[in-house]
Amino acid sequence: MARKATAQKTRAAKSAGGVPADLRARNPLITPRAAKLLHDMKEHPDAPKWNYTCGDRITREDCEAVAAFRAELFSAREPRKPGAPPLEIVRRIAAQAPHSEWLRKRIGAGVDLVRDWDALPCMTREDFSRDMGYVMPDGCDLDNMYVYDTSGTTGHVLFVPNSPRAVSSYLPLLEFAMARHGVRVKFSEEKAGCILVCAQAHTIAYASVHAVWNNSGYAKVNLKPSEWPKADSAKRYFKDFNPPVLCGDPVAFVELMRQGIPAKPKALLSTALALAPEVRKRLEKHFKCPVIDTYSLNETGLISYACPKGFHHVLPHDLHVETLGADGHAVKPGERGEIAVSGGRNPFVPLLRYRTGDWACLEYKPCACGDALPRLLDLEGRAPVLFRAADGSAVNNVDLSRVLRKYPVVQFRFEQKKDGACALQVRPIPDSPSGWTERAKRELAELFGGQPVNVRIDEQLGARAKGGKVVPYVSAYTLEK
Amino acid sequence: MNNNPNHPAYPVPVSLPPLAEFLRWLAEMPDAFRNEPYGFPQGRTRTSAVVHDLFETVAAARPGADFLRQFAAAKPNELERNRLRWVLAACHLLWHPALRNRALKGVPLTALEKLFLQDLAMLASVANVDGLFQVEERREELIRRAFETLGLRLPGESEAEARDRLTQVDSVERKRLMAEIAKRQEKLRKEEEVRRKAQEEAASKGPRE
Repeated sequence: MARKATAQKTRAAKSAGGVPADLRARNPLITPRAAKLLHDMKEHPDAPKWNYTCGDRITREDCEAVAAFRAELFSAREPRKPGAPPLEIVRRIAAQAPHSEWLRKRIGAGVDLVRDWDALPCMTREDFSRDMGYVMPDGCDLDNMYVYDTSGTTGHVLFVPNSPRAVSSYLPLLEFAMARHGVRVKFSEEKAGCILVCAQAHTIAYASVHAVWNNSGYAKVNLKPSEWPKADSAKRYFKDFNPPVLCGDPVAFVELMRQGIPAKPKALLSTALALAPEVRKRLEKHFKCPVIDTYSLNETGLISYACPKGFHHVLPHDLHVETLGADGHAVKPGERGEIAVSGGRNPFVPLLRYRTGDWACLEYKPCACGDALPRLLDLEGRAPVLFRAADGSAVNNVDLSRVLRKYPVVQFRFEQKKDGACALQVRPIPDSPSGWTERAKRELAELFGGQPVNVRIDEQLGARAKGGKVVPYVSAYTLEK
Repeated sequence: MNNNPNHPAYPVPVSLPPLAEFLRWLAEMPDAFRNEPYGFPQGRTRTSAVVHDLFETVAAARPGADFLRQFAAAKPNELERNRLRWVLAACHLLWHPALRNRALKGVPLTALEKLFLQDLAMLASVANVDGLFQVEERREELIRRAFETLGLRLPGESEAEARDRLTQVDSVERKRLMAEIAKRQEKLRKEEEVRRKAQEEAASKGPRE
């Protein structure tokens, strides 16, 4: 009797094609073959310690929408000019305006989006942290919303809502960047398509499949040795699954190289941190494939990719990019300004001149690579800083941000010397309760594998610096070496 | 003379027929303007061609290809269908002899472009075009919205009266007022949901963690 009930339960838990119902809920378009691949990736004897579960949540309708987006992306590469966005983007912002309190307040009937563009107010990170409920459209489909947090370089957490469809639109953008470098990948439901490599003290690790990439396998792994079952597990795992696409930040790619992991990708897509030319050359030589730099923010999605000539071109056709001065007006072409973006496809966050905090010069003149979209010259994003724990493993500044955001810190400067000694200077929030520095000290020492960290309070930190800015991360270790 | 700083500064001295005439004109809209726009099932009317013909007739300059492309169905969804149907209705309105032959001749191209590109996109995002065929207020709204943007005035109305009446029939304004009443609660509800979902399992971001 009990056996019969169990069998019924098992049957109920499986949907059509023998795919378990919970897996089908996470990956609605998963096929039995892709489910087998995912099982193999998860249960491989050398698989890393998975600590998270998620799927792409993509439906058939989403897949069709992403395919339409892909077709537009590859065809809509017309030159841009300074000033107001392309009319497609103006029209979309106009249609969004009545539905978002943030936009309603700024785009009244008298505002001509084309004529008055440069006078429109800018959205900032503060608007997201303080007034996300006003930015989000009225009556948006909250059931289809997923939330990601980001701390950027400031250490302050920001919650960014997004939809599976918009998130999966990232994949055609990567396809486009690869195609510009002559790389075309045929994704298969029987093979791993992409692994996102990280080299951090703590991060989530999981395996899934991506319907938009033909249900090919996908994994996010942490190269930290303690995250793998045996010493050479990462090597064997990469050898067995050998994904054609590797994504990650420069710190992780250097670590991949340092550990001698036998990956043979067709392309490396670098994201999150700035990729120095020397590091790119070293990686290209080692992996014998293009290493493509991309510039992306959690709030905005992908903004630009580096073409074969080494220039960062605006990537999504539905995004308007401009560079602004401190007064919120666009700077002249060729002048440096803060990158601001409008449009995009996140249904929960209609971007209007969102100031990214990163700087560049916008160049509209044609590029020798043939891509007509403008270029971001001298893009100054988040430079990667490499720290080392006591055992020599990499510690990413993202790890440090994650620890520090828990504490009442206004500004900080974390420095590691060549002998491994670490020091943290902090400017705390005034009148914050005491005692937290000891906890931070312990947590940081743990992060660095027992390496002590000297924590010093400096109420004037930043006050003496030009513009009040402090370089938050300084390390004697460099990626080039 | 126009004293509104947000308004295009050009006088339109031409006297127009009364509102009732434009309401009648819209109520008797021919099938060609009521048909499904091309790009949708059974769609026959090419909206971009209709916009092109109107601009060629009333505006001093021909519309650019970039502009005309905005009136081909971008996505086969209901919102887009609704927008293009509003555009067709606006084309019919401006095809009225009093506008086509006289009043629109002095209107800058930028004002016409704003109406078609921005104002109608806004209107279509909050109001179903079918209301135009059922409710006189929607017809009045289209007339007043278009006249406001184009700097035209109905006979016997001051600028303030025209604006006041537009506010009364304006769907975008109504949406704003309704949102205003609920905005604080709505904001908190959305932010609470964002916080709650931040603790839940997310959708795979793929290569952009």
